Amino acid sequence: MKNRIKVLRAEKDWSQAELAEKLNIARQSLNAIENGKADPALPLGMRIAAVFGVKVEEVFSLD
Amino acid sequence: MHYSRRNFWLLCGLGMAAIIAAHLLPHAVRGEGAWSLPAIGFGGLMLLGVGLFGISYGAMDDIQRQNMKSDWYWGSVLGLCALCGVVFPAVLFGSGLESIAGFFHGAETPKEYFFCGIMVMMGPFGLGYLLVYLFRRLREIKS
Repeated sequence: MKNRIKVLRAEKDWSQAELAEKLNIARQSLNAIENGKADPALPLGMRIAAVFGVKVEEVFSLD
Repeated sequence: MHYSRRNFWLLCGLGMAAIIAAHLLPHAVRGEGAWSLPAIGFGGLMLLGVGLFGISYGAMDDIQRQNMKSDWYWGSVLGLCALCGVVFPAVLFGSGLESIAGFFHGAETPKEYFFCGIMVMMGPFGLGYLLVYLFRRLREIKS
């Protein structure tokens, strides 16, 4: 699964640590999601989209 | 309690210390002296460790849980392979499981055999988990 978290984070000028804190997850977990090494469960995926104020499909897409 | 690496290793250390400490108890598991103060203390520590670990696990995020399950799975597979590598040659070419027990400075009492059984089974699993965990962390640091 591909994601645009890095791009969206750069647009907001947030660091990984800042975004991780907003999502209440560990920075290492966010790093793993960003780099495509781990896929978040649906609730976390929806929370990520909500933090950026976009739809889930604008953050995540299938390969 | 929020999940943190320090808490996690603290709990692992606590559990391992309790297992080793239980081995060093001066009395048998049953019979006279079984309910000594150290035995109750170590038993309490183990219960505390399990309880705290449960709370810590509950506070982990999805990815950390996925990683932990994955690490335990592959670590256990690795440990099982290592275990087979030790047990099968010991049974085929040595004097069976007694030769493994002999490795732990000769198990003579039921308590020592129990400890050997735990260590022979859980030790490789735990070490396998540790190896897989460290390997994953190394990959995360490099990326």
